Amino acid sequence: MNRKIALIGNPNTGKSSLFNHLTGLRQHVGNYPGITLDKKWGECFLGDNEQVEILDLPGVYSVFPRSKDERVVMDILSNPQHIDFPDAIVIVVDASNLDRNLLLFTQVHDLGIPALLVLTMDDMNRKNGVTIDKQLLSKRLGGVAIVTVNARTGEGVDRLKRSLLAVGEKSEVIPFSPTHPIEIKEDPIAQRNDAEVRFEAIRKLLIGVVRRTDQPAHSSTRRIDSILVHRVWGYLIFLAVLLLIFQFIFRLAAIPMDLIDGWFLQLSIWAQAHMPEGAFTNLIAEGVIPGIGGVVVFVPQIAILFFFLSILEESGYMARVVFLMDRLVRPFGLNGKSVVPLMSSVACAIPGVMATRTINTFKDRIVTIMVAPLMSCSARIPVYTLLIALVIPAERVWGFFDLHGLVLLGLYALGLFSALAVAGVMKRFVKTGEPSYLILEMPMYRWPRWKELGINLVEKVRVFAWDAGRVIVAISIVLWALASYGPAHRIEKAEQEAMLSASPEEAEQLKAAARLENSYIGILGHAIEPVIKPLGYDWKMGISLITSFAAREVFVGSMATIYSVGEDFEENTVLMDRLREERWSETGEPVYTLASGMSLMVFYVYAMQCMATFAVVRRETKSWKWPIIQLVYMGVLAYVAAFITFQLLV
Amino acid sequence: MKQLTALPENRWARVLEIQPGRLAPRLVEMGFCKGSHVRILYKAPFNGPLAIDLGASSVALRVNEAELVLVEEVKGEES
Repeated sequence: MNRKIALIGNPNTGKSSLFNHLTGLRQHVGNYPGITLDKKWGECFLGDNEQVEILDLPGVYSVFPRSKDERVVMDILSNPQHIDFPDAIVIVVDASNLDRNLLLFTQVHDLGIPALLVLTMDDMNRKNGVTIDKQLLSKRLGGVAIVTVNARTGEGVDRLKRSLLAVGEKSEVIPFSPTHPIEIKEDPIAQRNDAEVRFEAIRKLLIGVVRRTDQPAHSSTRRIDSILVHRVWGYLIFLAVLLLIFQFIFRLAAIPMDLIDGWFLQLSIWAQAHMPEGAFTNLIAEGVIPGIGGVVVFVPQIAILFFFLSILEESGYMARVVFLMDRLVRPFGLNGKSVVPLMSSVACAIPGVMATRTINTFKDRIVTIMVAPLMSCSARIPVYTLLIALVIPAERVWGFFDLHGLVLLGLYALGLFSALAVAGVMKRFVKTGEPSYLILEMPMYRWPRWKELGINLVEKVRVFAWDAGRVIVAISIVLWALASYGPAHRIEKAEQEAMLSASPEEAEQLKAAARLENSYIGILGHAIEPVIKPLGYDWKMGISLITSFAAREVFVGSMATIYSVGEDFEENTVLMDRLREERWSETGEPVYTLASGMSLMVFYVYAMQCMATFAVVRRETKSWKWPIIQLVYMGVLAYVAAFITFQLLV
Repeated sequence: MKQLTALPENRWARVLEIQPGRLAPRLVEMGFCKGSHVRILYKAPFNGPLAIDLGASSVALRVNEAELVLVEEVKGEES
């Protein structure tokens, strides 16, 4: 068995960077039972012949939990039988803030686990004219080994590894506080008094250890803050940052996304051509390959968004965004930290939901996740564009507003306001027993490290592709099978009928239409017609509503298949013409009117038509409960809102 | 003795007491313990959070949380 070593430290001490330096890409992500926090561990070679397992505990200020997720620290450290109980513990301490950081050290020390102290940010001290007498500090802390590490450059990591080889049995522990941490682990009042006692002890032991040799350099953080949290400039700069990020996502992500779509299409065609004809080949070429493609296609967006989010986070700017925005979103049950995830969801809800990881109160995080898919994402654009072109007259309002643009803007606004309203309602229903509060450290500004960003990106993409990807591929195979297969005799008969009346070039399209109409999804589409008729939809729209659970934009493709026409309605108006001609068989009235078209658009504002989001919400909340609640509430909202829209306009 | 929220910006004060309650332990652990020196760096608009300077770190608190911190102004120190 390899030795287990746990890393613990306050947030913003460079603990995660140190973890990355020690483990590189030999990292694993798993679960702790019962909480949403990811368990992160990795392997590290100390020398030629010892490999240890490094466990990255969450950043905390104390071993006592102040949230559900933080409970894991005490659970592990208080129980030697716990499977993650470490053989030794590395406490990462910010040398520029020794007082506060040493609280955690004294607690861990008193637990009696062999410990090693890592001092980070000592370079900041030198800049500020502060020196720390490490020998004296070590003596006063009971002889603990102290290693200075620059977590940003990795300088000192080798020294740390050598010291880890030696860290071992603890001889005798002289506690810093008369109360043992385990005795008071359920008693917040005692914990608070204990913290005061420990701080008093720390203050005394630091006398003579920390020496100010020089006047501190003027803090650049304060200067930058005077602009970045300014009551006018602060908001304008944040707005500009958001716009910049969106520009990059929309412009930059589209290029690799098109390429990926193309590659997987090629791969499908290749598989179809080179594998023996039959059901298995169809499964691979039409089910599995496009399913995997449907996962991979999200990777560029996730990577680009997290590239920017990591910069915001690492540089310290994110805390300023929270500071500025908290008051504005609080009436809706959201937290300042909800703002960036929600804005990200305007590009795509998937990275948006993944970005809620930084929200540390469970309730605020759940509420943010639940409303994120209401923000109008880019997958809705093809649906909106088709329907707007179809049912909204191309007019100008007051001479210069394009009506098409106004409707599109209205749909975005509807999504945004609905997200805020639902959040305001939902905050009353989500009960967690944790108070909502904001006690957030505003770290100093720092330049982000590229290597760090790279490792973060790889981890995000890996979590998405493996954990959420599996669910996405599974659902997409099921959807494909339901749309491709049906009762055999029905499909054959329909195909034959289609062939009879068609010229050879139309035959393929007609056959595809006949297949879809008589597949299980087609039959389901027929079956739900009575339910969706009050919204103004026929069974053909019903089929497309079901297939677009795969992704919203699939709606357009399904409509094209059903009407046996090409998909590109912007260059090729056949689909539009075909839709305009469509009439109800009983009354002869057109199917696509202002009322039914608006109703359909409103439906797409609300409905959770995205299996990838569904899978990511499951991954991030570590339960099926929340994605199912989300699916149901958004579905009900979509139905009711579309019903009202249709009945008002018809 | 007054609430931290009543302190003028940029004026140093000493923490006398943290009102007991669920957030008290967290505030103490973050460095708001008896005797520590604090000042308000800046306030977010619309009665939003306050950024508090604790000397070695800065922490943002909502008004509700800042009201739990009782302070006494330290005369003669300004920066």
